[in-house]
Amino acid sequence: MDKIMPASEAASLIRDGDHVAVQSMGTQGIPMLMVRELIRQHRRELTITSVVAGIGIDWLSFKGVMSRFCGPIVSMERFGLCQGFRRGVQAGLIEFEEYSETGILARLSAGSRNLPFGITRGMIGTDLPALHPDTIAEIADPFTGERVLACRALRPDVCLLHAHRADPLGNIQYEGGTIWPDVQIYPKACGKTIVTVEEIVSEDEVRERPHETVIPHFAVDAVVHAPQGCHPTSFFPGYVYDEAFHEQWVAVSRDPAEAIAMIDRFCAAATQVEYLELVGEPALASTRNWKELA
Amino acid sequence: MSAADLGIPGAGPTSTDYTVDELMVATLARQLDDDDQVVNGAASFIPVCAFALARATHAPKLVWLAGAVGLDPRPRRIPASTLEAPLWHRSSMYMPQLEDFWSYVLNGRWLTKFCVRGAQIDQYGNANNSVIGPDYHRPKVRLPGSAGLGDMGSIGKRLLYWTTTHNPRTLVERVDFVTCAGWLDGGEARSALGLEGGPEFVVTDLCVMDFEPESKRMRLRSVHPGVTVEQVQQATGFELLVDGEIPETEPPSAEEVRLIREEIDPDGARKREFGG
Repeated sequence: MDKIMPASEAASLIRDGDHVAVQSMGTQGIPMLMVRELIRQHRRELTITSVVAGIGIDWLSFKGVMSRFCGPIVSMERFGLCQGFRRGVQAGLIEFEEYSETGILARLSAGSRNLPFGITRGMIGTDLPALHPDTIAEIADPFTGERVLACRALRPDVCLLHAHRADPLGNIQYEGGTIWPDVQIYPKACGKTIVTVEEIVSEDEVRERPHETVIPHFAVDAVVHAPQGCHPTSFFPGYVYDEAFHEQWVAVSRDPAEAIAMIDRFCAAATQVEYLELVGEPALASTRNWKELA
Repeated sequence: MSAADLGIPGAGPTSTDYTVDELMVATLARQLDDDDQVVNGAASFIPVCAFALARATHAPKLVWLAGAVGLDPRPRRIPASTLEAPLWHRSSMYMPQLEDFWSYVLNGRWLTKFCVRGAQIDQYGNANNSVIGPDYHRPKVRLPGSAGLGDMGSIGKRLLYWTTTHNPRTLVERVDFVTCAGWLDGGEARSALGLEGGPEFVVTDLCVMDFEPESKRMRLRSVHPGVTVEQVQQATGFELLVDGEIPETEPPSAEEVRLIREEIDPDGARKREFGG
């Protein structure tokens, strides 16, 4: 069965109120085509989980798509705090369900293996566990009595990932291994998996490089073709983050009206091709030429 | 103890031509040993330069996981991001985070020292990167969040703090929220929870501090050249322990300054931590 579909159709797998896990590592690897599509389709009341949320979560915050963030950190790394997210939390419009990194990963790991909870030694002694009486509980190791934290299984409804290649069946390939935890854990923990990819290839081509297949087709529900689909974030090794775009975002995001105007301008693009035209080839090319500059 | 004290070739005489970022880098580098493994997180320019300097001087075998991904990288310079691929240049491995990175961190054998920066650090070495203000749910300022900090203070790591903003807003009597567990309420509070490791060392733009072994309160160890004990106390939001004569922080050697400026960080990425 062919799983290739446009972003608009893939986004219809996500309903208002869903919990959506979004690949993100600060300025790296955010499936921005799907982020824009959620904004275009006016999704509401989403809970988002990311490992290090970045500009995508800021856009969802400004546009009122996300009402809760469940994860360890929201930061654009060298570009600083996400202003829309920060304002939303400070105004009481967005909830931050904050865990340490091992805490959220323990929750997702348990979800991925159909276990009731995962455990961690992280967060002990911090103020984080007390925020979560429904999901974090101190328990004793039944064998030694040692103190550990039980982290309740988390099974988000959908995940959004970005990868290098897919075939029409939905076999997902990454070049150079799965560096980030999102790719390894979300498809197993989440009810549905949507993957945007740089390139669509044939099943035969996938079979020439089975060692690069990291998500099997049966775990994938939708494949969306999205060249430079993480722009303005990076996608190793193809391209780095767009520095000028992020700087422009930092400048306009101080003012909500200007921020929303910028988001709307880029979300007006109905397809990835239109979006890339809006960004312009010189800016895109500069993100691809990073190895000469590194 | 400085590299010069250890008789490291090339350490040479101390320099008088250095800036505070270079002093902080050299001071942090001296906390790292040849058999350590270290990892850097986001926007961590001082630690990254310190790792590179330690590798170039007294700790050539120091293992460095750049951005928690790139094993022993050889970046041509320190780039504008300490997480992104340019920092991983010529690594010998890209480490998958979920299974590999966290397993090596949590295992206990490796990565025993961890560099921490908090928006607030208190007198017992607890750090806050979550919220400013008394109400967590309606904060005055929503900070980025825990990331790995909420883990590193609880899993037996030896914590090395750095901050480039030594003032009463950063160094507070009590953090508004404990994101990273330090010595908690001091004394035996940390060991009562079964936690090992803990905060050991703090380098700021003004001084070097540690923690008094009994009370676990922050204690002044040295002031940077040109800074007085009184200035440090005035810039600190709680009463610092001061035992006897406080020496000056050992300045970087001329060779350390040259390495930082010419070979490790010619673009001055380390100055990004000073609001520039």
